[in-house]
Amino acid sequence: MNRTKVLAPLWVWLGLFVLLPVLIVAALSFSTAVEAVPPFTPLLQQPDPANYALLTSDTYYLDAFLKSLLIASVSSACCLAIGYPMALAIARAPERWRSLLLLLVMLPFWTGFLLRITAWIGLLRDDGWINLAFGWVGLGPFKLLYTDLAMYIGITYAYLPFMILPLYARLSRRDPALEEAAADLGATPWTVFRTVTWPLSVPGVAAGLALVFIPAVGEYVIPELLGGPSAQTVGRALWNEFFSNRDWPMASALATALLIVLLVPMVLLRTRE
Amino acid sequence: MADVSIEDLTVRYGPVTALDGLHLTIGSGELFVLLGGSGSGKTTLLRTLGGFIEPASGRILLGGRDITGLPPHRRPVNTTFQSYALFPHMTVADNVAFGLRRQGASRAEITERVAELLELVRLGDFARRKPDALSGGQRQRVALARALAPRPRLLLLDEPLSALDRGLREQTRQELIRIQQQTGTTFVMVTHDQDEALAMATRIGLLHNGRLAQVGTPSELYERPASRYVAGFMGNDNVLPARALAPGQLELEGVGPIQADVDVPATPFWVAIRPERLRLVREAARAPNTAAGTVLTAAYFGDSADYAIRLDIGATLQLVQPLSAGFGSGLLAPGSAITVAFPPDALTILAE
Repeated sequence: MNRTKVLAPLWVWLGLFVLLPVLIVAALSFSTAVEAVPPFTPLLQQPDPANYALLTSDTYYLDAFLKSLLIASVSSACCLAIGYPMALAIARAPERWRSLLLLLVMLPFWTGFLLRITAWIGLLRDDGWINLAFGWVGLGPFKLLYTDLAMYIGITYAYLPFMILPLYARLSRRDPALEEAAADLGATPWTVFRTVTWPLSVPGVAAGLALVFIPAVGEYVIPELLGGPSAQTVGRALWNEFFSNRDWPMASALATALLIVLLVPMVLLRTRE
Repeated sequence: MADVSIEDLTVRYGPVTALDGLHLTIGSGELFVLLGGSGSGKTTLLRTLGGFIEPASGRILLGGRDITGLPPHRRPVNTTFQSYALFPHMTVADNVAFGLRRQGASRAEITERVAELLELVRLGDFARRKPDALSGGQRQRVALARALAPRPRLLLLDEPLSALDRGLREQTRQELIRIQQQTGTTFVMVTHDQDEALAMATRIGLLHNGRLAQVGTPSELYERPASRYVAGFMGNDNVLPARALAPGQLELEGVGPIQADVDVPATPFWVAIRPERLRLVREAARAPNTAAGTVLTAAYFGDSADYAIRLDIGATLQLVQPLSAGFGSGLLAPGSAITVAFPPDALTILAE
């Protein structure tokens, strides 16, 4: 009884601000775009799956999904490759240093997201600081801005803290005696990592990957500002439907499909546990 | 036959000297116990033997080979950790197989050796369990099997019994001795518990402030402590200043003149008398080697009693008396007048 009372505000919040909007978007995805205000036929009067038919038949949308999943996968892998050593180093640092190092990881959050991404434009431009540095050693200039590379750099940079924090939370609770025991039994430092440190940190890795992968799939701003025209992601397709084509139902269908693509594997993963 | 030779070993933590020029040899097949209070350096010595701490100076030889500079994974030395440090994500069998896999043993060899060791520690039915599903005593035995599996030249045990209940501790103590004898491996074990050390060790090294206060068999440390510190640590509560009177006769402060079967040094010295070696007698004082006193406190332990007795001349002595036979078959009440006898062979002269 008490439990229900305590959880009631949470359920009301989730119902009002998560479930209800999702249901509206889902309903919207079954209507049709019209020249009117609002720009769609009344909800739930004549449910029409035409948007989904188009979604699955037109390769434009399919490619956008695949591209988004690819970008999110590569970015998550980059975040893991950079974030794991950092999280481990912080977890192994002397106690008094740890909070300072964590603070430095979170420091970028203190400035605006758009500002930080725009700063990367200045760094990556043909005459930007990075090409300037290449010039000093007699290389370049390289075309960096508006390429996939720039987009990956931007996404990895923006989401790295979301990888480091759950990893650190997991790694800081590891028992150093286990690593000592492995070394004692003949494991080289690399084998200690492979057989003990890494397997015991897998829940943190999973949490970090989820926190990076899920928002990266729907990411719109970074591919738009740093990426090339070939980076046609779901986020950009959605933006185009919504603002350029004023096709709200199609945009809703894309959003719903994205939700399903992300939700189904997670539910499967949870039930398997 | 010397198996482990520790030569002039010094370990420092910043300005603190944890081990100070230690010399020690441990024979092959010994169950050597490092005994000491907290901060004595016993754990530091164990970790230095394991390779986890680098000494500031000195050498460690194992079977004649210098292993001082080797990292832990290259030493034929394994450890059972105080917390056991079992790998929680592996089954019992995989834990035991861990060291064998690192040695590159074949699948068949590993299976055979794991089964052999689980049999040795009587956990044959638990091979597929995870450590979480084991009791404290079972985890302790898995840790032992895991450390013994790669056939180490030397096994280090860090407080192996400290995390166990009292009843289980007694049983595990006997198991450890059995396994040590069965495998013939040299064991070096750390403990702070003098009873544990006495019951298990072939020899004991008592550490105090980073130095060895005494090395010897349990009976040597118990019967013939080298110093007041050793006497005190081994539970010898009666240490009194003394001086020589004549050959075979000495004056104990607060007791009086005593005949003793010892060579009496010329300079003032200390004498230790174990609580259970003193006798309570009915005879009045004046008989040789006795002193009259009063019971201060009495504690009942079923088959024996602990007394604190204040002698009329001044000294306070601790006594342990059996209650089953002879004088004092009942517990003496505090305040009872009593006479304490000092058997001539009960006195130990302390060098310092």
